[in-house]
Amino acid sequence: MTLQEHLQIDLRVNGRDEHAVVESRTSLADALRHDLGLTGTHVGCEQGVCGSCTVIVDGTAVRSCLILAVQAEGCDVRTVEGLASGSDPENLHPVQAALWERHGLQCGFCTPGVLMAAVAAIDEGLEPEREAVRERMSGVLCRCTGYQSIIDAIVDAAEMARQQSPPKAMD
Amino acid sequence: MVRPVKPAPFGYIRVATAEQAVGALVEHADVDARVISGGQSLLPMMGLRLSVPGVLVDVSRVESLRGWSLAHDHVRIGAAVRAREIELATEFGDALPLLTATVGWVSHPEIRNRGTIGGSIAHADPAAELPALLLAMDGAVEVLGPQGARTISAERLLIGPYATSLEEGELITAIRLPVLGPWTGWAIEEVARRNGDFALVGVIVLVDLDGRSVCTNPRIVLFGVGGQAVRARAAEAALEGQLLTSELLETAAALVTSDVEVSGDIHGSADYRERVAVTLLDRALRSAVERLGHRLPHQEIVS
Repeated sequence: MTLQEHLQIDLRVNGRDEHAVVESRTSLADALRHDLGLTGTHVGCEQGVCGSCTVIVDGTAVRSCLILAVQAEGCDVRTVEGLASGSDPENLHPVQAALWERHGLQCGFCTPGVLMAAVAAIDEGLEPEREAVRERMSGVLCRCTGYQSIIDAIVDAAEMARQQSPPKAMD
Repeated sequence: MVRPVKPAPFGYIRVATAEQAVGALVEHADVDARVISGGQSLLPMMGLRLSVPGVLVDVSRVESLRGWSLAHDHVRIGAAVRAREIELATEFGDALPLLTATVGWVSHPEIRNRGTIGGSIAHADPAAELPALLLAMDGAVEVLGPQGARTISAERLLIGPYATSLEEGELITAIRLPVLGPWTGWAIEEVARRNGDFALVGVIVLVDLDGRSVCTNPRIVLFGVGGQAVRARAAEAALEGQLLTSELLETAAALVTSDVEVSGDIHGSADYRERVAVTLLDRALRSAVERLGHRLPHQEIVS
């Protein structure tokens, strides 16, 4: 139990073991961006309300601006860079492909947050219905699109996910 | 040179037990050591330099603070249990649906995936739902400190904006809430400009109805309108022992802000919040009694 200001941390990012040297005050967002060079995760408000920094830690969507990097030690982190399989842009993740098809992005600043929040929601069985998507995605703010095309895309992606693995019947 | 942005530098300690946390808080009290749990309230304040702890004691992985248990008359929830875990737990949905309903109002799912019930209550934000729920349900927190363990009721815990009666070196270890009986109606209503925002006005209501439709044991808590969550005692007194009628609910609703100095800010004026509070209490009371099978003619209050 030692007092530390600089820490060496090991964590898993997009399936790879990573090591970073951070200050205790460094956020996970800043560690991903500056120490690991993964600038896909964006920093907007740094208060948790805009959603641009959303990543998936140990299976759940979280605000990387409100997690200290040291708190993510030993955790499994997924960022937007980890969605497409391989470096071939043709192999987009289904949610990325849906966003592309429905023109659910313009400047792209909120897009990583949209994608990670949507991926997590769909993995949890998000209902492919506009109100459910609207409710679940209300934590990510977009200034460009007016949201309708984002909702269109996520409804499509959720529908596709349901077709591939239908939800279990309730007893 | 450390630039004056992002949290100020601090020493970080991750502890494995609640006792270690107490030890660390006491050892570093001279530099304002604070507990970090989910960090969803603390880190924004540290980023704005409104909070400048010299040491953070991370309790988020202390096993004894996680997990929960249900007894026939109460639930006990570890302080480091995430809000989202509570939200998704079907046993709470069955045994204490007011808790499930309230937790759903807390910010966004991504925040609820990290924020903890103990952290939210210890932070005591005047516009937060969980401290208000603790007060409305006459709940309590279990606390561990250098003098040992103790239990603090909601009323004695929440003493002002962002202020609790926790002493130096103390941390909340668990939250206790009573299970409601089948004769207790309940409701939570909240108004915020955007989904997930802090409440402009919120109200939590519990009221018992006996076989003759007489209201007893009303508990009404307002949040978002004053310096802390507050019991609307004048409104409660108007209900206590009275026969349930539509007019009774209107009368009680009109008294909702009698016990609090409603202040306004750029998000909502005091006058707006007062009017909304009346409407929300009326809705909440109707919803609470409807839950017990009583249907009353519904009329919106126009003030």
